[in-house]
Amino acid sequence: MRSYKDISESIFRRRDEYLEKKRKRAIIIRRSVAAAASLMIVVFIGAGLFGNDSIRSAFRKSGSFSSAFITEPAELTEPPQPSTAPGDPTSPAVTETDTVSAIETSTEDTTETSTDTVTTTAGSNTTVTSQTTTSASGSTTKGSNSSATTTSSGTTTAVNSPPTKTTATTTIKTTSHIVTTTTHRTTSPHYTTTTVATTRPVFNTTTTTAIGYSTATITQTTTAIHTYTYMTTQYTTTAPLPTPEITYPEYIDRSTGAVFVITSEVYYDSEYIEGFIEDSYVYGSANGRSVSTPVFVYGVQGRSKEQYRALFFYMYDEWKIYIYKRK
Amino acid sequence: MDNGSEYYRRYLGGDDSGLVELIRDYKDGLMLYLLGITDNFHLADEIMEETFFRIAVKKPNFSGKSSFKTWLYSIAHNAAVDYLRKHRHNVPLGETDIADEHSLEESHLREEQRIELHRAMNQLNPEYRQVLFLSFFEELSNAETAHVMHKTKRQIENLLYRAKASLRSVLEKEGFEYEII
Repeated sequence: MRSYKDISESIFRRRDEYLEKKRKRAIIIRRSVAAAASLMIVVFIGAGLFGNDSIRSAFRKSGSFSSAFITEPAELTEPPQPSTAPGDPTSPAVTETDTVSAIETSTEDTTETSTDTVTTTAGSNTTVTSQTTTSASGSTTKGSNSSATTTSSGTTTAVNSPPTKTTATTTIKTTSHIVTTTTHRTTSPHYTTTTVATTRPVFNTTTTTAIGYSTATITQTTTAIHTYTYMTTQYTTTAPLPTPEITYPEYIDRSTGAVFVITSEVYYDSEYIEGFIEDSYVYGSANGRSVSTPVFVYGVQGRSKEQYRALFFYMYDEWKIYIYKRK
Repeated sequence: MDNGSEYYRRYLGGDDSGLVELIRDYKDGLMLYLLGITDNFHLADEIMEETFFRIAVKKPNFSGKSSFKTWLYSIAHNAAVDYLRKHRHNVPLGETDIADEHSLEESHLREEQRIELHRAMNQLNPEYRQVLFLSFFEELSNAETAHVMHKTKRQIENLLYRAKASLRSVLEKEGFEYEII
């Protein structure tokens, strides 16, 4: 039977052997992993190399790689800096044109008479050329003489009669004219704020290795992909619409073209409406109706009589409009 | 006598003499316990060495939840079970060196009556031998015995009852007289 010392020595010896074996196994595993990783890297690089069409085609042509495939790394361009400054305030102002047309009647009918003379020139006589028509008929009997009939021909001359002169008269009658005034509205310049949001560029670096007989060429291509997001905010300032300054023509009491009449009949007051009408209500009455029963009531604050007259004329065409001012 | 935890702590601290003293104190008990499992002296010796080898190399953690002897016998039990499972088909038959075994019994059991009792236990089946050895010779509690043999306490109690009855019948056949306590 073994003593405890023998057992201890045996155990320590086995322990040392086991630890040594374990250490060697760890070294082998570490070296194997490194070798496998290196092999995989080489395989991947080779696969990537032959995945490149240009290198593959060049390899087919020359059978080896050349230094022509050496490229410098791509230069990275700086991304544009975001601008938060407002738009150019010196930009030209936007000009809008408002056109106000005023219909005005003329004092008198404008008559323009024009005489157009239409002259027709007779053409030359036409000579009818003579025409000879010959027709033959008959029958031939064997043994007998044949007979023929001849129609005489002649010449006919026709003479055209001379054309008569025609005179046409056109009358142009103008009953109204249009006065157009133009005002300009100026708006403030449009300020535009542009915000550029830049994201971190994505760098893609592709490394290819070309292995020749005596040289190894490493090509590294770096591509930076910048992503920009533009956000534009536009501010529009609108100037108040200017009141058009209208220049009216001289007051015309009657128009032959317009059918409405401003009479002197006033409902309460015989005051004749002249010039600018103050705040009041205007009673209008149409043909055949009593002026005491207005057919419409219209606020005329701030309007000149020409304005509402034009308005009434527009509304009640072919009617006579009586306008009264209430006291 | 349970200085095993101290020895083991010294060994973990780098003192190999701790393991030497551990082997010195526990190898005989382990041998007898493993002999009860394997019924083969050389095999028990091999498993005993394997047990200490596991402790020396793997340095398992001893938490102190049980006694060091219980923890050590559990490792020995596992080693024996692993060995028997691995060599299920070619387990050597009982080749017991009687002189060595007697020397082992004398050194570990010391008392003549205990030695005779242990020899009578050799006629029992391995489980009975294990539970009787751990309970009466190693003086482990039922819970500790259950921990070593990977059984429940209830199973150990039943096993111990049947082992006693079996041992009694063996002793009666050999002409032993015993007192009913």
